[in-house]
Amino acid sequence: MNCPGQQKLIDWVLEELSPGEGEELQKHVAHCSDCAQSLAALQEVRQALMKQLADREMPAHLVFVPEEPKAFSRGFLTSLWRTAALAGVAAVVFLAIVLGGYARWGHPPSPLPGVERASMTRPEIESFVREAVRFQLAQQRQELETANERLAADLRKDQGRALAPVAAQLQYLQSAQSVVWKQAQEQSALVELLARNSLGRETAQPARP
Amino acid sequence: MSAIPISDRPDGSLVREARAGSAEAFNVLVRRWERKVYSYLVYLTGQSEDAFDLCQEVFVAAYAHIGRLRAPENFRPWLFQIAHNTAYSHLRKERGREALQSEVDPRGVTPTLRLMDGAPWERAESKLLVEKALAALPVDQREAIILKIYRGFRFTEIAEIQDCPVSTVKTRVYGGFEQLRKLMGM
Repeated sequence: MNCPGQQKLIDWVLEELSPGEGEELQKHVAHCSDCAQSLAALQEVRQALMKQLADREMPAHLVFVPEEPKAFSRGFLTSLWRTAALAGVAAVVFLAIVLGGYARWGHPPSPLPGVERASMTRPEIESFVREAVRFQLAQQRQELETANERLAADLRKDQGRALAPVAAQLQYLQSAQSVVWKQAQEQSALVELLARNSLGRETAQPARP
Repeated sequence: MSAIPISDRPDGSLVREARAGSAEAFNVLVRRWERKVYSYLVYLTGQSEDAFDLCQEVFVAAYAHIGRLRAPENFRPWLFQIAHNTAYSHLRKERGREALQSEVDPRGVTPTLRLMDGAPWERAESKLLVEKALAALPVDQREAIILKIYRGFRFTEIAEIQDCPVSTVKTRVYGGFEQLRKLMGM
C-alpha cells in the first residue's frame, strides 16, 4: 500500500474510516515512519482539542412552561394549542432560574423574545414563574436529598473505617483490664488467705505463764 | 405509559411524548441537551452571555417546530441544526458578514504548543494557545471541527447541520485540522 495521504490519516484519527480501511491503514503505518509521525501529530492535535472542547458550565438552567389552555373550552383549545404548537406558533416560555450564575454576570439574562410574543397577562406570567420556580426547587431538593444520602453513607463508611482501630484498641484494653482485675482479685484472695493463716497460727499458740 | 423512567428514555420517545403535549418530556430533553448546545454556542460565538440567550432561542424554536422533525430519533442533529441557524443569524446581525471569516490573525499565534503535560501554568498556557488557534479559524471551519471533535457527529450529519455537501464539510475539517496542527506547532 502506498502512503495514504494526510486526509486519510485525518479520517482515521476522526474515526471516519470503515473497519477494513482502518485495518489496512494500520498495517501501512506500522511499517512507514513518515506516516506514523504524521499520525502521532494529528492524534496530538485531536487530544489537545478534546481537552479544550469540554462541556461549559451554564450560568442558569432552562425550564420550559407551556401556556395553559383557557378553562371555558378546554378540550377545543387543547387540540388547537397542540395544532398551534406543531405549526410553530404556540406560546412558549423559557425561564432561566438562576442558580448562582447571576453573580458571574452581575445581572439577570436578557428577556426572551418569546416571552414578549406570548402576550401574557401579569397574573399569568406570575403563575408561570411560580410554577417554574416550584419545578426547579423540587428538582434541587431531590438532588440535594440524593447528595445528602450519599454523603451520609460515605460518612458512615468513613466513620466505621476510622473507628475500627479505636474499637480494637478498646477491646484490647478491656481484656487487659479484666486480666489485671483477675490477677488483683487472686492476689487479694492470696493475701487474705495468708493473713488468715498467720492469724490462726497466733491464736492457736498457748499462752505462756 | 412506558416502564422506563422518563429521564432514561431515548430522545425519540421523549420527542413523541412532547409532541403529544408532555411538557415534562420536553423538559427532560432540555435538561439533557442544554449544556451541550450552550457550550457549542460559546465555542462558536466566543461569548458566554450571547450564547445563553441564543440557547434559550434554540429551545423555543425546537419546541415550536418539533412537529416538523420527520424522524424523532434524529433529534440531536436536528437540534444542532437549529442551533447553527440561530448562531449564524446572530453573528450576521451582530458583526456582519466578516464575522464569518477568521477573527484572529493566524500569524499572531505562536507555534510553541508542546506543553500539554507540564506544570499547571504551562497547561493553562497550552489551553490558551489551543483556544487562540481555534479562534483563528473561519467560523464554518471552526464549527465543523467543534461538531466533529466536541459532539462526535459524522461528516454526513455535519453536512446536514451546516446545510452543505459532505465534500465541503471534509474540506473544512481537513483544512481546519491542518491549520490547527501548524498553529499548535505539531
